[in-house]
Amino acid sequence: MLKKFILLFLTFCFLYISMMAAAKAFWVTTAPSRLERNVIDSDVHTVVLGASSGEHAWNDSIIPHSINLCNSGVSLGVSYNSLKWIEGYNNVQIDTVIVCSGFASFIYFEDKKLPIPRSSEEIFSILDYPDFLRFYSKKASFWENSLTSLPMWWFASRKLGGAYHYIDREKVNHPRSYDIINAIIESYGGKYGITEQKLYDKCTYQISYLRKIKEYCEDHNMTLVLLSTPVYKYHELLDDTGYRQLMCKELGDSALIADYSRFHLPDLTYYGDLEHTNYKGARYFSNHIVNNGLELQYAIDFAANP
Amino acid sequence: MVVNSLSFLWFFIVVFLVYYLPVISQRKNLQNIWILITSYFFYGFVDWKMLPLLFCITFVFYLLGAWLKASMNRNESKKASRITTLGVVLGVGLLLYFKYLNFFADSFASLLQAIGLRASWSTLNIVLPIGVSFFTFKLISYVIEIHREKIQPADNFIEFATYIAFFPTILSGPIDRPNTFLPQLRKNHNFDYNLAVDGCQQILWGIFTKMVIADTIALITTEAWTNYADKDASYLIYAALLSPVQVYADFDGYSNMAIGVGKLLGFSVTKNFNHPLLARNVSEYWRRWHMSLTSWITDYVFMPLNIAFRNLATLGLFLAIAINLVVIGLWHGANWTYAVFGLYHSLLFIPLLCFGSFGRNKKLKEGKLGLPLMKDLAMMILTYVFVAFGQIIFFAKDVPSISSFISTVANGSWNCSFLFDISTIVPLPMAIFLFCMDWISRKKEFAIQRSSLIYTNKTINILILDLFIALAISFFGYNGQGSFIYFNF
Repeated sequence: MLKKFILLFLTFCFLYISMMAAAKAFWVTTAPSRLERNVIDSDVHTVVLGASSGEHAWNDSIIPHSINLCNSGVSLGVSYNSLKWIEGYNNVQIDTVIVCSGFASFIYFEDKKLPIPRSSEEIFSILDYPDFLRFYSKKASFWENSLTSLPMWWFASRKLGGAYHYIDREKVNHPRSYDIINAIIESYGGKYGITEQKLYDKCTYQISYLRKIKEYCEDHNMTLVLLSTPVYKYHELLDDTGYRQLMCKELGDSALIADYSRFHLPDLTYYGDLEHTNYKGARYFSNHIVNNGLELQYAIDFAANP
Repeated sequence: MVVNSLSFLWFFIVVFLVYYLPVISQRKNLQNIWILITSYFFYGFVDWKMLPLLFCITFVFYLLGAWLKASMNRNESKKASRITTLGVVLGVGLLLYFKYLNFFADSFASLLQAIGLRASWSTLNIVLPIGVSFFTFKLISYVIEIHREKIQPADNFIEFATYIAFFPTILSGPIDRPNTFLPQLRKNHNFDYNLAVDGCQQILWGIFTKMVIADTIALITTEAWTNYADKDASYLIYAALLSPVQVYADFDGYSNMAIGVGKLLGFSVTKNFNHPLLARNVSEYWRRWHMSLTSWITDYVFMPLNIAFRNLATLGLFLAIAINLVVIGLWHGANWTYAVFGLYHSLLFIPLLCFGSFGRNKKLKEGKLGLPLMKDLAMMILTYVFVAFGQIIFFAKDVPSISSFISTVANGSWNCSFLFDISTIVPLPMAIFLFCMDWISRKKEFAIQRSSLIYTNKTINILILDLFIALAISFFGYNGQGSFIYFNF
């Protein structure tokens, strides 16, 4: 009887794993057909990539000729692959790539907590094989997720790289607002601990994909701009000198930086939290860009003048 | 190592295979030793620092049991009573120290300050041993049951320690009573195919209710309890109404897993829930809810109080019920909200006592089309709503938060747009589904027990049903929650 039970259990496991693997294979192979916005309107010349800071700040219905493809939680590796995906659909009109990866979002992407976006399957389908390995070898939960919660992904965003995301929260003063930033300060050893060397040590993947994005833009004659969106008093809490030097070194002296990290929004109600604008902040910031143009500086100046 | 994790699966496969090795399964002592070793490993894996405490307190109560029995054999009744009292005081003292010392110290200081006296002392940094509320109750009932001559003391320390530390139940119950569990340790367990298949299905159903129903609803309720000031009234009411199903699915899920694991090892673990969603009044609800705890409290708290207050007639009965429910409330943790929770539930007994319907146990009748009778259904819904209100108290951070939550609901806006969001509306059909399953399987131990849905013994049908449930867990289960609510207690 024990043998019969063990046989029954093994049969169950085999059937279960087979069915889940089949479902997974179907889901992944059909992912590209579910993706939207892969062909971009011909009058759009600027594509905005990056994580939630850009997702919540760049309102592309206000800023003309641009498309916001940022998505919460994505790293530069995903942005790089999104860029290649767009090019793959012959969107030759794109001449400017804005990567929203300022100081605030950069230090979140330490390699040990390299995030995977919620729409994993869609992103999975656009990653090159080496990139796939680099990403997911670090992320055990991907393998767990890969066999569970499949239909839940259906409800997640199917827009490649995301889109402008309207948020109406006002949580700068929330008691837990500073939890993450305090954890970062602790992780780097204090307010002045975010040195260039520590960023090199902790953000290997991010830096390697920053280089790839830069090379890709150069190869395809696209202008790369690194954008820091407005954040609330971040630089009073953290010293960003190391980050500035790193950007200059990696992107080159003449790379273009749009640093709005010290840009003052009228009051606290324009911020969703410390690192994000809410819809009011996004509207204010986007209108400012429309009226004044994107204020750019060279990386060498960015490094020298905080 | 939670029960619905892969690490537990690997752990249990090893436990199971060794347990039924011929050399072990033919000797009950070896089986008990193996269960004891693995139980201590399991407990140590969760909280190794508390292993010495568990061992020492088990050993002390084992000695108390032997001493008590020896006294009783010598007809030293006063001494036996004193030993029993010592055991109860020790068990309650253990709970008071680990769970309630700081709570009572703080409350006492607040009371003194309220009447104008200065009181300040630093509280101790006490780490709560996981499962203490569960294994302490086992220890207390052991000495009381020996004194009542309902059980014989454990034959040896291994047997007693296995009863206390039995790994499927040590973290969150059910609270097995010594008179039902100790006899099971006195025989060897041969593999029982039908019991094992039944256990597997019970585990699967437990995982389903935990991961698919409880954890999905938890996304709504957690948001409501933590950020209620930012939410509108309709959302808070929606969350409160879902909350009883969440707690039920969570705790019943764990209990089913524990009972199922027990069945795989040949044990009959105490049933913890009897379809509480079908309760037609609060009295029936408490007879169906967390039965291993409520029966324990009924035997050792309610019955003595009821006898003590018998001269007060109905008022005495109400007092016994109120104290009983406050004790049940405070058992959950050191917070006045739990006492208020108990008081609130005791108030719900007043109409039952007034109309003389307390203790009546009418059988559920089936109406047309196999549905409940309209009157029963109305009573079930009414009871459910009262229980849902109690959940607001239960999950409140502190007592002022209860009124704050209620005033937010009373003064809040009504915006039902969340009902058009797929992620917030999905829990509703899940809750209704669980209610329906409870009704369909009301005569069974758990919803997918073979004879309840598909009466068959054919292996292929078992496989199809189990695969269906397993795929449903994978497709619809939320795997971001993990912990069980009752691990906190």
